[in-house]
Amino acid sequence: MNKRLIPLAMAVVFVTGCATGNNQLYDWGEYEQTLFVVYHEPEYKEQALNNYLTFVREHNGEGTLAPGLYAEAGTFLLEQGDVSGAVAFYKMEYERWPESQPMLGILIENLEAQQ
Amino acid sequence: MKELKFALLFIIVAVASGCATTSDPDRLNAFHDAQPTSILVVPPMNDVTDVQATTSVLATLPYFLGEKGFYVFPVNTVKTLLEFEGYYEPAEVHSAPPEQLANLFKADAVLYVTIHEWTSKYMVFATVTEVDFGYKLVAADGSMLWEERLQAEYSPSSGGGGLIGLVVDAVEAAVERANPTYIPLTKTVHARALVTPAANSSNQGIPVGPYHPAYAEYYQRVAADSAVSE
Repeated sequence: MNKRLIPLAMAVVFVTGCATGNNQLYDWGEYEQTLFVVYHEPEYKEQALNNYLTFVREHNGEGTLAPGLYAEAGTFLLEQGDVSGAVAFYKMEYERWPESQPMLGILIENLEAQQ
Repeated sequence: MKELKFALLFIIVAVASGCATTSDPDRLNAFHDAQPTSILVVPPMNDVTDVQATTSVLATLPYFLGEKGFYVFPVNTVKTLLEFEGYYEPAEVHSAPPEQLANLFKADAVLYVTIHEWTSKYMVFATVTEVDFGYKLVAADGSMLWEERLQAEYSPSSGGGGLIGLVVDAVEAAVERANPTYIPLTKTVHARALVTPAANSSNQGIPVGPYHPAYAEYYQRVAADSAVSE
């Protein structure tokens, strides 16, 4: 019985941590909500993307932004046809997270060749 | 408000039923040997009809994996790049060799999630929402690192009439419009599946990743535990 209770209690702590924003490793902003809107609510997409891009720009390459979030901003801009804006965000992800370098190195190279 | 959220989450957790059975002390050996840093989350496969299930499960995973100390490949960027590569359907991605996917992104591991259940049953007085997810983490060489299957259901009738309103308050506006009860339930299941095991013999959860402050401590404990059991 005790064994079952421990993971349950931890799950509760974890989820409430998410809700209150305490003790997080990173800033996530409205990332999750932005994805929901992008996938399911086209009528709010423009506003959600503007808010998200503003949030990511405020971090401007610094390390507290959660993994992947600079690259996602790049992809949103790429979809809008802003290649140089996309490359700028991809480079921030590339510099911050070495794990992203094989994927983004090729992408950045291809996009820069297009310009 | 904080207390209300807490109460709600507790109720959801309380009805979540784990189907993990016997404890296997060796279940994380492959994970401990591989110690992956980066995880590629591919679009979940959906056994159900609700089209929102796939993207809702996908969008809620990065937070849990990132906060556990892993590098999570950007899920929407990955989805977009996979489409460039000709993978439009999650089923196609799931049937591709994991080695090939991992190599495309140079990921240490690939996380596959299958949505087995995502339903709301409308009863006379209440709606029972049920989710059931299978998780598989596969290393870049194709070997299985971790597997889990969890289900949970949420029934507002268990706690009185005000709970539907409570769920709506507990999530952000956009999520609320999309999926009032599914999202908190989905996050609860992710949190339980990805809990950090308290000991080698724990039958649930995955280790922390290298960006987590408890990483070194975790692997010291693993080493001490396995020294004892030998």
